[in-house]
Amino acid sequence: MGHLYFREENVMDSNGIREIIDDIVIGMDASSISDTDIFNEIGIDSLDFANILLEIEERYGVSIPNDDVEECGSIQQILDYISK
Amino acid sequence: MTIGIKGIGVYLPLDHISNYDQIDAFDISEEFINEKIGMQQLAKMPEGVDTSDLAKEAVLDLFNAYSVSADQIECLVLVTQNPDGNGLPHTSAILHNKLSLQESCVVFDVSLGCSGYVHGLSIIKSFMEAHGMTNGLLVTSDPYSKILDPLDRDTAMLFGDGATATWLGTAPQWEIGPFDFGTLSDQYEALTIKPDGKLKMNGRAIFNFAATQVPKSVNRLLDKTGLSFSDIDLFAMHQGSRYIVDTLARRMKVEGKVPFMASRYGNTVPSSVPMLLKDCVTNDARRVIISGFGVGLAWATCILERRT
Repeated sequence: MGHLYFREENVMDSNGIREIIDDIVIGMDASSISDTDIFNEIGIDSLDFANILLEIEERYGVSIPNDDVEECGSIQQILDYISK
Repeated sequence: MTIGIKGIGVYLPLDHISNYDQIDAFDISEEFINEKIGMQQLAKMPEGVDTSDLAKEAVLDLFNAYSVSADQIECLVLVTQNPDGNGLPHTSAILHNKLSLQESCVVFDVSLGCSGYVHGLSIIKSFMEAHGMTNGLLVTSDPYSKILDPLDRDTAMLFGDGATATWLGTAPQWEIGPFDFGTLSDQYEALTIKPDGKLKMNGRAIFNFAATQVPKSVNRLLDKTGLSFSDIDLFAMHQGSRYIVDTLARRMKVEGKVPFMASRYGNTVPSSVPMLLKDCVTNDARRVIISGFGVGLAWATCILERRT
């Protein structure tokens, strides 16, 4: 199970990120993605990746600067990054 | 006296670059071109042709299709950030000469990019109404082939060359306004020219900007007018890429009303929206929202309403 990050307005967990992936990546079943699968190795391209990060920023009220994008290449990496 | 849109002329160069020829160089797939970028080929102006030449052809296309001629034009506004030469004289003056417009015809350039047509409609409409003018032209001609780095994966597959000319006058087919404008200048560095004269684009920043600001702009405009999304027949969004157009449709929950038509010529910058209007607006469309967004980072959105 993914790492939990608590915010008043919304709790980020791996399933929440999977919901976003399901919403954005056409033709992908996010339930088949493990927490450690690297996005660009499982067919998530740069455009969908940018879109996923935007949705995460908006849904959870977080900011992921451009310089840190490479640290967010999987569900687990995103959770680890946000929990820093 | 209300000034509105009476007709649109378009010019696309015959030469093209195929994005399918760039698949190996950029390590992409046909699916990525078709479904994400959306641009299958990019129109490209040939050597020896300049911004004013594209613009002239668009105006001639307009004159051939509509009952307006050069001697009737009282003002001409040209939207470009890639002028003839270094921009002095203004390219609209060169165009004035190429079209043999009247001595009394006022012309000037407006330096805006992808938001330029929608901004331009407000500018020329206001200018014409303030000065009692009855026939004017809003011309867009911004050939990015002048500034593209063919090896830049972020930009080389997006932009095409083209020009449009919109006839503004009284008793229009389409009434214009109201508008919503804005600028996020703290992000202006997301789309700039490098010291070598080539375009540099932060794709993520531009995507985030468009995905967040355009729906807000459309919502503000609907609030201002008391209209709802269901009252709008078509959302003619700047054709930055298929992906951003589809993202906007999804975010505004208006899938099916947001066409993407630029696959055969590319993102023509300020010519994008008028080309789309020319291609897409059918006789049964009563209200269209148009939005241009990009360099600055700036946006302009307005409602066009068919005059009954």
